[in-house]
Amino acid sequence: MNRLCRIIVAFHLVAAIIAGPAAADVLLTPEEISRTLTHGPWPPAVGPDPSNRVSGNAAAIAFGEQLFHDPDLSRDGSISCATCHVPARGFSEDRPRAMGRVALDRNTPSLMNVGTHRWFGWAGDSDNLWAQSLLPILNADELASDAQSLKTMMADGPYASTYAQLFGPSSDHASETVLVNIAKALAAYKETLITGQTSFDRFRDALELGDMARAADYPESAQRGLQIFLGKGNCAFCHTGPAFTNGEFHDAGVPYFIEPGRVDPGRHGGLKALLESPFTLDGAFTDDPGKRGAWAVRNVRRTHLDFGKFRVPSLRGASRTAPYMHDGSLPDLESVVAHYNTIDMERLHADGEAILMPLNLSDDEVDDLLAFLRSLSDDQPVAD
Amino acid sequence: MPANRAVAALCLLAYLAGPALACVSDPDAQRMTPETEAAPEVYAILGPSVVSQPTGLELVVCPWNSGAVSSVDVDAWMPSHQHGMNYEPDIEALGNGRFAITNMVYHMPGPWELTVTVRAGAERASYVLDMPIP
Ligand code: HEC
Ligand code: HEC
Repeated sequence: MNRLCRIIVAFHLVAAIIAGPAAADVLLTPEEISRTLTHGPWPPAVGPDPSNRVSGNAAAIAFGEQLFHDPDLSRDGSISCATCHVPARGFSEDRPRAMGRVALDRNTPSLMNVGTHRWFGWAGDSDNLWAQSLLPILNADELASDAQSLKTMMADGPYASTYAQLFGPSSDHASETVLVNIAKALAAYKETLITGQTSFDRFRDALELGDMARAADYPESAQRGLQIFLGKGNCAFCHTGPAFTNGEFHDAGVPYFIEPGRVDPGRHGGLKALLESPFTLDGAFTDDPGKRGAWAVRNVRRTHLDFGKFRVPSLRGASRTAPYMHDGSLPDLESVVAHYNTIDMERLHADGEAILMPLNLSDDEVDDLLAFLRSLSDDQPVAD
Repeated sequence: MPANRAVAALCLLAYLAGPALACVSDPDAQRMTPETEAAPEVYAILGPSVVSQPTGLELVVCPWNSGAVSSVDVDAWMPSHQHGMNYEPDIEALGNGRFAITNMVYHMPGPWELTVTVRAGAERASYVLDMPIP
């Protein structure tokens, strides 16, 4: 039934393509067009986060932005969130692995579109954005602060009145509550970091409207790259939907050795941290009495396959956030495509992903795939 | 456009025909394929087929000789990729052999297979249903 009706829709699309004035310039088949439509619309309509009562609150967003850039949030005034999450680099940075008080094990991920995720961090240590925001504050290798110092900071000094206005006087709050409230203001700010419309989105929206003349503005090379992405590249199995990620965890064949003899357990470790955390959507610190979203932490399965899996990154704005992968081991998009093109099957777990295999793309096909990937980043970048 | 109208008529016919129903009247109910021929009929009424978002289904187990259904297990996997779901679905008995299944998450597009095992007294039967996720 469903399929039959999809065929009818496809039939109409073919008719439109054949009839359209710029017919020769849209290369996609009706099937490819209907799959392209699933990667939008963009930006998505996301409402406020029900677990965070200051989500979407303008004063909290401004407060969160100040805190994000303030090194005084760290133990010794030396590190702020923006030290690693550099605005002009899509809120990531150009070194492979982050440098806190010591070298960390992972690459600093972009914070653009971070509000759209289900799990946070490369391994999904948190199921909500405010819980993820308090990890670097407490981490001894990053800001290395503690709840008591934050409570003192909010009691007097420049932030006292803003804090009191948003949450009530900090003297009434346990230090842990102050920590969570600060994290919620940081989260409110980060939810506003959203990439804009790209040439891909204009193409996709024109296809949806059946405006083939406008769709034909999208370069043919990017269209051929999109066909590889949806087709023989198998990319769209994992990089699904408007943000080009299914939000889940996979093994993309990146080695998980941090150094000889030490491995990054990936999702296996992330689930352990998640299930030990008091700050989940199922815990006492959510502001949503209905505990929406808590199904994920309650129902998530743990299996031995979690080892060495990492969250599928969004591909929007990726041109601005080199280097790539959880360990920053691939310096540019060319290397990422080369990685998938010649993937080392030995590196995949024996019972790992059955869809990754060397693609053997020609040089022209590689260029087309790159043209498509870059077209996901030609929106207006955020200024520093 | 006559060709178009013919397809539309087919579409309507397929809709009206529905499954040959023993104990279900829902037009969207799909009969699941049993492992053994003698097994009682089981129908699935699938919720929206969305990728990587929680969705659900309703299961209808037609009457068993040995009496009331004591339990159902529900899962889904991608045979071509050899992996299942990352979440445990929730199962709620609604009475009269009906079950509401929630928090099914098909995290990749492509062919999935729904698997169900029903127990009633000493009897036990397993079923499958092909489930394409767009
Ligand atoms: C020393 C560098 C560094 C600093 C400072 C830092 N981060 Fe990060 N950030 C990282 C790294 C590395 C990760 C990946 C962590 C992981 O996967 O476990 C990360 C991950 C995140 C994520 C998850 C992103 C996603 O896509 O899921 C958020 C949110 C975040 N940081 C916010 C912050 C905030 C807020 C601050 C300041 C309180 C901060 N970070 C300070 C390096 C840093
Ligand atoms: C099996 C699922 C899967 C498939 C198929 C897949 N990817 Fe990925 N992709 C991932 C995961 C997981 C990562 C992160 C891996 C890591 O950090 O270890 C990733 C990382 C990336 C990155 C780096 C993004 C960043 O910010 O670091 C790019 C670019 C990318 N993939 C593009 C592609 C392209 C192009 C294809 C098709 C040729 C593809 N992917 C196929 C799962 C997949």
